[in-house]
Formats: sequence, C-alpha cells, structure tokens
Amino acid sequence: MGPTAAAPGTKKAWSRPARKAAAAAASANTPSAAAAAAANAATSWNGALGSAPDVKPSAGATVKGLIEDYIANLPLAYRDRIYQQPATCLALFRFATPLGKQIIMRILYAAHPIPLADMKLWCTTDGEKELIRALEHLYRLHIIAIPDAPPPRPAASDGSGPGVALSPHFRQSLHNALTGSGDHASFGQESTAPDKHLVTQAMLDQYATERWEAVLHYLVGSPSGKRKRAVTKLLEHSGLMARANLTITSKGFQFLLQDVNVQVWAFLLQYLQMSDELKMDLVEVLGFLFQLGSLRFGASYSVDTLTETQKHMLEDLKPLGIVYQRKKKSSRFYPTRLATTLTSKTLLSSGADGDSATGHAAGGQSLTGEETGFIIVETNYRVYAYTSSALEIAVLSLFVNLKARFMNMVVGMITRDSVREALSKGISATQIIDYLTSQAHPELKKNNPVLPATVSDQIRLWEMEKERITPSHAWLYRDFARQDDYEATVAYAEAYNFVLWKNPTNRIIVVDARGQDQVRAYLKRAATAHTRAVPAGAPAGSQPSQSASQPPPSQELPVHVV
Amino acid sequence: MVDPELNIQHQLVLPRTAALDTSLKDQLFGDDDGDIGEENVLQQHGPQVIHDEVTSLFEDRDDYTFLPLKAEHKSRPLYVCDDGRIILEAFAPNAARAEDFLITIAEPVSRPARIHEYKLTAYSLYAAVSVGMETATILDVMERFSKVTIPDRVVRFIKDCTLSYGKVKLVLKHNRYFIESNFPETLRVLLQDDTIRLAHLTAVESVEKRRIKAEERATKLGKTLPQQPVIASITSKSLLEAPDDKNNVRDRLDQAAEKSRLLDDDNDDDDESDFVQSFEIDKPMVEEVKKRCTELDFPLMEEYDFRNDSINPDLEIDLSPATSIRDYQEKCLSKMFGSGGGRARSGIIVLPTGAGKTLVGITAACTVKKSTLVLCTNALSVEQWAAEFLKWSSIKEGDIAKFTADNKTRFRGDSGIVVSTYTMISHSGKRSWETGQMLNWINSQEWGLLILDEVHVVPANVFRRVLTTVAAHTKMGLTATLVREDDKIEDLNFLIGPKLYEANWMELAGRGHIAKVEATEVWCPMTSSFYRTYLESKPAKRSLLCVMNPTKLQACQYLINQREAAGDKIIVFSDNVFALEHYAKLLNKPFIYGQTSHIERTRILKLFRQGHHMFRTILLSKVGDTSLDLPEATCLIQISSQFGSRRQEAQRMGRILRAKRRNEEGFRSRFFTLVSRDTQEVAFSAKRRRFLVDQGYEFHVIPQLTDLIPPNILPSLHYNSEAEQQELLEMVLQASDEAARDEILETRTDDMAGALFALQEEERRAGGQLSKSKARKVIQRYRNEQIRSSREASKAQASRRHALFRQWKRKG
Amino acid sequence: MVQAVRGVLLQMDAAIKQIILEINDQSPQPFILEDLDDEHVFVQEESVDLVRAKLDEILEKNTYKVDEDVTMAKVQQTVASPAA
Repeated sequence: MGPTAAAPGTKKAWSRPARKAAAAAASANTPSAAAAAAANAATSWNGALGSAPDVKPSAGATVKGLIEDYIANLPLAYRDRIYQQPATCLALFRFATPLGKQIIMRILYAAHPIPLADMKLWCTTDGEKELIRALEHLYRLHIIAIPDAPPPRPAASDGSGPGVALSPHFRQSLHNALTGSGDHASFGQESTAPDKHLVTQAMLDQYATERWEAVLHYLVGSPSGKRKRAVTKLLEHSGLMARANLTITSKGFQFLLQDVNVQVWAFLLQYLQMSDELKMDLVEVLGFLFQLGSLRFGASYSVDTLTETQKHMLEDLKPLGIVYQRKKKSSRFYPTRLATTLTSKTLLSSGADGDSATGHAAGGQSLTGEETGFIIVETNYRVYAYTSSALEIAVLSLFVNLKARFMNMVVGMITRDSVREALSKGISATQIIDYLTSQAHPELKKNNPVLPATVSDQIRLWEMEKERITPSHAWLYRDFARQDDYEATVAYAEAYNFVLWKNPTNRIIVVDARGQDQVRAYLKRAATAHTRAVPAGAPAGSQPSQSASQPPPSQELPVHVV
Repeated sequence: MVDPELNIQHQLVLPRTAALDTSLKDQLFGDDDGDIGEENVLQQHGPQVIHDEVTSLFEDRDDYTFLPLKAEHKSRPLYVCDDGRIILEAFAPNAARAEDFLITIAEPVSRPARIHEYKLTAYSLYAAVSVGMETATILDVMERFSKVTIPDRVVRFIKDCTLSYGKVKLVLKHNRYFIESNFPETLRVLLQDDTIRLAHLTAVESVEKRRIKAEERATKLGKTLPQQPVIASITSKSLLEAPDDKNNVRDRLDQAAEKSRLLDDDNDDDDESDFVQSFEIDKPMVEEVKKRCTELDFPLMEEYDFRNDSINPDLEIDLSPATSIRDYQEKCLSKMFGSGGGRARSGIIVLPTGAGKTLVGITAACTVKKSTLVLCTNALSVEQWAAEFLKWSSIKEGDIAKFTADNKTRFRGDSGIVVSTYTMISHSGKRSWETGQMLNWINSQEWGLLILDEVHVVPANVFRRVLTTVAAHTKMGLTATLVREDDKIEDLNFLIGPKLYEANWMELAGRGHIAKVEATEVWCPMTSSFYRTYLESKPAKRSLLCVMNPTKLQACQYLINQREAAGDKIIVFSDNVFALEHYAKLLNKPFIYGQTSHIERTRILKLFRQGHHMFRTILLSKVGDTSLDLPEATCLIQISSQFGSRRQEAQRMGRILRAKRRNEEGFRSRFFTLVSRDTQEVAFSAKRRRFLVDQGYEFHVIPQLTDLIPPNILPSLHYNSEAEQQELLEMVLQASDEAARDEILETRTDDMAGALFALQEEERRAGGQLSKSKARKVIQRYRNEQIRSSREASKAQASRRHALFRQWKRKG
Repeated sequence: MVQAVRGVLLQMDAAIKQIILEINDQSPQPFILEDLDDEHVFVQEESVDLVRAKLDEILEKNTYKVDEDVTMAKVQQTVASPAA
C-alpha cells in the first residue's frame, strides 16, 4: 500500500501551463464555471426564486450542499490537488452523512478495494438502497474511486467485480489529518508568543459582526461608512444587487434570510470564481478556506507560514470579518467565528442578550436554535418589532412603513405603498410573508396561521394588482385561405400544446414562441405538399399563379412574415 | 433644504464667545410665540438618540430611542411616546389593569388583539380628572406600568392639563348658571377675560333680567308667578377690585365665604378649602363662556349634586327588579356618578350599537331621580325609548310623555320624563301654537338629566340650539362612534362634556355581549361595457355605474339566496335609491326609503321581525341608518360604498351586533361589502373600514367572483347574458342624475307588506284561510285601492304645488 | 398566403382590456396588432413595458384616487338631514 505521498513540493509541479492543460483535458467545466454554478446554487435556492409558494426561506441551501456541489463540479485535476490538503478532507469527512462516514472509515485502511457485493453484506436488504445512494454521492465527490470501472450500479450482481476504494489523495490526507502526521502547516501554525495587543473573543465577535453586517447593510441599502470595492463587486457579481441602481434584488432579499454560514460561503464561492480571474491559484484559495475552518477560535496564527496567495487572501477576507489582523504587516492573524465555523455544522451563536445584534444577522437564529422571533403583525396592519438590530430594522424598512423607534422596538405599518415599493424591487409577496412568518414573535406563533390571514392575503392581492396582464411571446397566424388548412395547423400545434389562442371563425391562431420553428416548418411542409397536389390551371389562391410547366415554387417560406 | 429653526438651535449650542448671527436674533425673540424659548432649551440638552445605520430612516419620523429603557421593562406593558402616544402590550400579564387605567386617561386609537395604541389628549385628561383622578396618581401609575422613563414633555403635559382642570365648575341653580370654584385666584383670572366679563351678570343685572323674564312668562301664561328668591352674585365685584393686598383680600374672602355658606345650597365640602365662590353668567352666553374657559385651560367641570337638590322635585323611578346591568354598563355609570354615586357628571358614553346604550340612559335616570328629557333623532326612536323606559323601569305611563309632531302631551306631575326629537326642540321656523307652548314649558323646566341619543349624527348647530334653550344639570351623550368625517368631535366635547367611557368592541364580542362578526369584501369585476362607460363618465354617473354593475347584482342575488337558506335575516343597504329600487324589484324583495310611508315601514319591519318567509331580506336606503327601529339582523350586505364614511360603516355594522343568536357556539353575524373592482369604490371601502379595523375587525377579501359563485350556479342568476347586461347599461345611462339620486322612476304599486296585511285581516274576518282565488282577489282589491289613492294623492300634490308656484310668481 | 406576425399575446380580464384599448388609442404609436377578444390582445413586443407602466398609472388614478369633493359634499348632505 503506497498512497502517493502528497509532499509539499508536489504543488510546485503544477505550474500554470500544466494546470491549464489539465483543465483543458478535463471534460468538466472550468473552475470558474464550477464556482459560478455553485455560487448560483448558493443564491438561487430553488431555481425558480420566490415562485414556489411553500418554500421556506432557508430551505434547500446548506453549507454542506454548497461545498459539495462546488467540489463535485470541479475538474478532476483540481480535485486531486485539493484532496492533498488534510484540512479539506477532514472537513468533507465531517460533512458526510453518518453512513458516508462509516463507509469512509471502513475502507480507509482496507488493504484492497472492496467489492460491491461485500459491501452489500454490511447492511440489510432495506438498507441497500441507501448504501448505493451514499456510494454514488461519495463517488460524485471522488472521495471513492473505482479503478478502471464505471460507477457502481445497483444492478452489479455477483460477488466479484470491481472494488471500491478511497481515492488515493483523499485517503492519505485523511489519514494525516486523523493521525496528526504529515504537514503540520496544513492546519495552521499557532503563534507561540502572546500578543502584545490583547485580543479577546468578544472583540473578535464584535469585529466579525460589524464587518459582516456592514456587508449586509450595504445589500439592504443602508451603507455604514466606506466599504471595499471588492465587496461591492462581489455583491453585484452575485446578482444580489442590481447593477444599475444598486438596490437589493429578490435574490438579495432571499439571501438575507439565509443562515450566516450559508451567506458567508455563498460569498466565498463567488470570491473563488473571481479569484480565478485574478489569477490566484484556485486550489490554494479553496484549501486555505478549509484550513481556516479548522482553526481554533481565540487563537492567533502566524502569517509567516502562509503562501503569498494566502497572504493576499487575508487582505480580502478582512473586510468580510472572517479574519482579523491588526495591521497589514502584523505577523499574526486571528480567525473569527465566521472562519472557524466555516466547516462546522453548528450555526453562529447570538450574543448573550437575545435582543442584541451580535451574530444575529438577519436570520434571528440563536446557538441553541430556539425561537427568537420578534415581529408582531396586527390585524390592522400595524407592525411592532422587538429589535435593536440596525440590520433587522433595515430589512423591515424594505417593505414596512416604519414610524417610530424605541430602544428595543420599532413601530410601523404595512401599507399598499410600502409593499408596492418592495414589489418593484423584485421582492415577492411570498418572500415578505415568509420573512414575517419565520420571524414572528412567540405570541404570534401561537396562532395558526401565524400571520393574520387578512394581512397576508392583502399582501398577495397587492402583488396581483401588478400582474393584471399576462404576456407571452408568440406568433400570430392569419389569412388562412382554407378552413382545412387552418384546422390542420391548429391540430398540429395543439398536439404540442403550442396554441395560446385561436378563433376558427376568423381563422386566427396564436402560437407560443417556443413552437414557432416547428409550426413554421410544418406550414412549409404543408404548403409544399399542397402545391404539389394542386393541378395545373387551378385558381391562384394564395400562390402566385404559375403554370404547371414552371418549376415548382422555390424553397422560400410559404408564410409571409410580418 | 435646511430648516431655519434647526439653524437657530445649532447656533445656540455654540459657546458664547462665538459670533451669533444677529440677523437671526429677531426671529428668536421678536416673535409673539413664546414657545420658541422653551424649545430652544430642550434642544440644547437635546434628546440623544441612538446613532446607527438606520437612524436616518427615522429622521422625519418619531425616534424615541432617547428614552431609557428601564431594567424591569420586560415585566411592564407600556411604551410612552414623547408625543403622548401610548403603546400597550395587551398580552402582558398585567395588561388588564393597565388597560383600565389607560381607558380612563387616554383615547383609544386602535385595539386589535395584541397591541393597543392610545393617545393622551387634553380632553382625555380632562375626563380623567372629572372622574376623580389626580395628577399624582396618573403620573405614578403610568410610571409603574411603563417600560421607558416617561418623557419630560409628557409629564409636563399631564401636569399642565390636570392641575388646572377640576378647579372650576359650571353649576346650574334655579335655572341660572354660575361659575363656581374653590380657588379665588382662578375666578379672578377668568373674570379678567373679556368674553367672560361680558357674560358675567352682576347681581343687579341678574335680578332685573329675571324679573323681566318672569313677567313675560306670566303674561303669556296668564298666571302670576311667586317671587323668585334673590340670590346675590357673590364676591365677584370684590374679587375684581381686590389689589395685591393679600390681607385685605383674605378678609374679604372670609366674609364672602360666610355669606356664601349661608346662601349657597350646593356647598362643595370635599375639598380642602372651606369656601366656595361663584359668579353668575348669562344663559345665552353659556357656550361662549365654556369655550373660552377651555381655551384659558380651565375647562368647566359640570357636576350636579342631585341628592342635595331640594329645589327641583324628585321623580319616583327605579329600575324594575327584573333588569340586570352588565359589567361594562356599570363601568359607564360609575364614570358618570363617581365612586360615591353622589354627583352626576356630564359627558359622552361610547358603546357599540346593540350593547345596550338605552339601558345605560335609563339607569342614569333612575339614579338621578329628577325630571329627565330624552332627545332622539327621529319619531320612531322616541317610541322606542318610551317603550324601553316603561319596560325596564318603574315609571308610570302618565309620568312619561312623548313630544313629537303627532304628540304633544306633558307629564302629569311636577316631575317626569319627556322624550322628543332634536328637530322638535331646535326647530326655529314657524310652529303651531301647541308646539310653541310645549317648547316654552320644556325650556322653563330645570331638567335633572338630559339624555342625548346618537350624538354623533346630529350636526353641531342643532346641538347649540338645544343646549342654549334647554336647562339641564347633567347631559349624557350616547353614541356608537365618536368618529365624524367633518371632525366636529371637539365641539361635542365642550358642548356636552368629556368622553366618560368607550367600550372595547372586541372585548364585548368576546364576552358575548355583541355578536362576533365575519366581515367580507367581495370584488365584483365590471363588465367591459360598464367599465368602458365608467372610464368615460363624470363622477356622479360613475357611482351609479359602480352600483349597477351586473356582476354586483349577481353577487348580491347569490349571497341572499345562500344566506336565506342558512336561516339569516338579511338587510341590504344602498345609499343610492335608484339602485335600491332596481335591486328590490329584480330580486322581489321589499324595500324602504325616505318616501316610504310610515305605515308601510312599520308593516315591513314587523314582518321582518317575525321572520315571515317572504320578508327574510329587506332593502334599505339611508333611512336605515337612523330613522328606523330596526330589528336585529344577522346578515348585512352593502351594495354601495360611496363615501369614506367610517361612522356609517360602524353604524351599519351595529345592525348585526344585536343578534340574539350571538351566544350560540360558533355563531357569526355576516357583513358583506360588494365593491366594483378597479373603481373608486375600492378606495372608498378601504377608507370606511379604518375605524372598524382599528377596533380589531378583520375584513376578508374575495377578489374573484368565481371564488364566490360556483360556475354551475351562474346561469341561474340574472344578467348572465350579454344582452341583459347591455339592457341594464342602457337603462343606467338613461337615468338622469337627479333620478339616480332621489326620485324613483315608477310609483310603487305593489306594496307587498300592505297586501299581506290586508290578506291577514280578511282571513281573520273569515275565520280561516282563504282559497287561492279568493286570496288573489283580496290582494288585487288592495292594490287597486292603493293605485287609486296614490293617484289622488299625486293629483292633490300637483295642484298644491301649482298653487304655491302661482303664489311665488305673484310675489315676483 | 398565411401571414405570420411576431409579437406578444396579452391576457387580462375584460375591464383591463378596456384600459389597454384606451392606452392604445391615446398612444402616438398604436401598438395593438390584433384585437382578439374580450380578454386578449396581440401587441408589439417592445410595447409591453410601456403598457404595463401606463396601466398601473391609470388603475391607480381610477381606483385609488377618490374624488374628495364628492366625499365632502356627500358628508355635508348626510349631516344636514339626519331624518332623511
């Protein structure tokens, strides 16, 4: 057994040209595309944003999902390199499901690849399906590999056949991670000397909160002081803000409702995409992110062991509140909680006082996951929100007409105007209702439905007001010479569900633009066939009169396009 | 744009050595508005608000973040704003007590399920004081309930309002008005005011005036009156003359006190000071004086010590033993009579329709036990009040009199009850001799209690006339809503008195005193031809088009069928008479409007009350809002919401609140508003709802007709075909604007109720049911009779008009 | 010869259609290519945004802007004759 040693020096072998070639060779998308895809996944939870009425804001997107999607879409070569980092592998291991973890552990130290049939013996017949699913998932991530064989199929029948093993890099790295051997630097070098300038955990928390909330504030439209160009660029790139007028978009609103960790990762993946453009080594960047995730909160780490790229990253990550470094030249840096929880499953904690803004972001979640809903919506459309968080207030101001503010509460009203303003920014009625519901005060949560039905109905009605006309791109056909022609065309189009409107009396049919090509082709065929069938000397009809001796009409369209 | 005021404030914060822009100085001190100085001070130690990313959002709004949150805020239920607004967490454990407190000192603004809003106003504080609350108590309790430190401004406001209130009283004695106070300083201040000085009657003037009046009356009645005892106007002159020589004043005041104690019957001896002083004012100027006193921040408290009134004859009246008072009715009365039950305060009581206002009035009369005058808005209400009095109290028939156009009796004894209408009392035009006599008699009485029903409907000028001619010790205004679109609420406050109590609609509904209501707004799409016409029409025609919208008719028809089948008693309201008639004829239902005769009205309502199967639904015009003694209904349908009148909406809601079935499990009265989509009716409806929504009512919306009416039902409804719709549109277009408002196009000849009565009468005579053919004959006979008499009537009217016209022509 | 016209099919309820027709009539460049029925019109692609905006404006005017004069006049009427 000799897994390929992932010596530090190996990295250097991967010079730029070589990497590019590898990338070209890989059939997969480019990393930036992969990042884009993952980033998109991060910010468009269900593809059809806001249109699925039953979707809860935080449904679908998880940190695990984001990261795994991203990695799965990376080209093989990149993945190999990434799996040379123990921190990365450890993180992915942690993300795996219990079954996945078991599989990995069992085959980690196996001498030979284990045949699928044997694996099946591990579980009951009922569990087989799950096993296969887990294996497929691990394969997708290339955590496991089946040397020279297609992916395992449920049908793989007999006892023999190809076996399953951990992919070599992954295996080595995981081993290193678990045993603490290998390159120590991959987990970061803790600073030995104490810091002259005391940095407490509380300070780090505050720093992280301020920074991250500043980003979100910018998103919501209440800028708090200067912000880095890079951040704004990220926001625009990700589609969270409309480039034109720098207002929040529907995606952006949805983003606000996510857990902080998901938000951070969404940003980071976007960053990954951009880093590729900035010619930073993607693998290094990603690796460093995973590394950060394994650091200890409260500890400071030496900058000296970082590569140039990683040092650059520190600069980029500071404004997001992920790391703290007193000065650019400081020899140490501190990861904040945003960093150390990058790869953990628990969420960020809120401050001791439930009302405070620390770590609250816009999600209102606490460490224990208990309800911290704070909004009361009354039947007379008045809103009373128990909060002192500027961010939460800013979010409310997007669709509520705020009227008064106390130290721990704001008073406002949901009006037609305030909702219309939100609607014009692209925020949907469902999003507003979901937000209010998920953040509802415990008093309100006793109700079913949580929000007064009249209020949520009215919000939807105000949305409906804006959708009085339903447009569809289409083609209108008229001037059919004969009824049969008309009816045949209708029948054809109907078969494909292309007909949007028809009127047999005046022989008009409106066809969905999707079906334009087909219908046009059909008409062409029909016309040609028709022409051939028309005997010489037949009345002109819609054809220019030609005698039979003339060559048949050209292949031009029998349809006059207006 | 920078506010110049702000500039000034900014300047003031600069150190003295800094150069002040002297051009601003004049602005600072040249103005007569003395408040500027004060505001500047406030700004200097200005409120410190939280500064964070969202502070800018509250720049033009109310930023109260400068109010420190108390440590124990979580266990307190109130937020107090700088501008006197109060927010109450109704779900807090001690909310009930806080609520009781708040309703005593503040105006409720909105009271839905969880969070209530109130507002402190001068009047609400005045009301608090008049029921005996003291400044210290108010501040103390408020502080104890509040989450935040009470803002200085609010404390000052409360102090300002309450310390000066309760100092001066308006007392009615022997048909004369006196301003009375324990604080001579106050009286002096008042007398220095021009208006009040004008109204002030010196002793001499007073005697003279009274003598003249008495003689006039005597000659008119042909009687001689006994000499009225002369009660000197006390100390007014001495007060005016008294210089700052305190000792002198003291002496004189002591003397005056002695005199007054001897002569003054109504001694107020609960207070610290021992003496009471007063000066008389001229009766016609009472209102002026009251207004002026309010402006001077000494609103007059009107209290009547009825127990110690030995001059006015008592009335033997008690509540009948079977009568029970509900707790909220008791609360009203306790506000009026105070905890000791010794004095009666004037004021307004607000209870939703159907909650038993009448009984509150009757109980008040039974407490005061003096002559009582009740004023209503129409003759039918008069009947109703009289009937209620007889039912719930021990009053005898001879002791209660009705004064209407048809009835001009008096009570037989020295004291009694008179029930009349505002118009009868305040009508200033020509009147019959009898009426004149009656009025003189009423105006010469000294009434212990004046009950003013439906106070929100009556225009202020009518009140004025009433209150200047009628002398009453206590005035009790009863109403369901204090909301008026013309904002004349303040007038009522000083004409009658402060609001003593306002019930919580939701609470009453929750306890089963009034019915719970399911309110729905149904959107009826306009047909394309109606809508096209709507877009092109002027406002007057637009309203008509909205009401006559065929889909609205369909919705109405469907709802009526549905609700009748469910056993409801339905009232359909329409402000527009044209539409009213059309709907009624189309759906074959009885209707009542202004021109409907008294007899027909009574018949229809009787059959409605009885639940006759043909009279389960009735249609009413605006008359239904006030002039009818409406029996309870369980379902209400509004087909025209023409204006944004919140009062009207609340009042109509009241028609279904009395439903007897309200205590049935899960029972709901139903309230439907039919609105034509995409027209101004939508906006009007939204406006109308505001009051009810603030009381806690929820209005569901049905945005599509198809959500209401199942498609298979549509064909069975009217106007399902385009031809019918077109016909309807043409009819509407032809209707003149006048016709649309007041007249109807055809005379009514099928008086359903009348025909039915005639039939019943006939059957009674015959001793049993008639055969179908006989019944038809009876009805036909009745109808012919109606046609004939109506023809004659219109002929008579025509000739009369003609004569008048001739008369005018002659006059030129 | 069969004509094919490219554009956008607009579906709406009958009342709205009336407004669309009016917008078209008052527009310097009419955009309706074919008036189909009570609830459908076929219009130029480029006109959709404009139509939406104009529709919003008109609906706002005819639905939510109430005639205040009418309101007050009617109120006075009511108040003046309580026994009507």
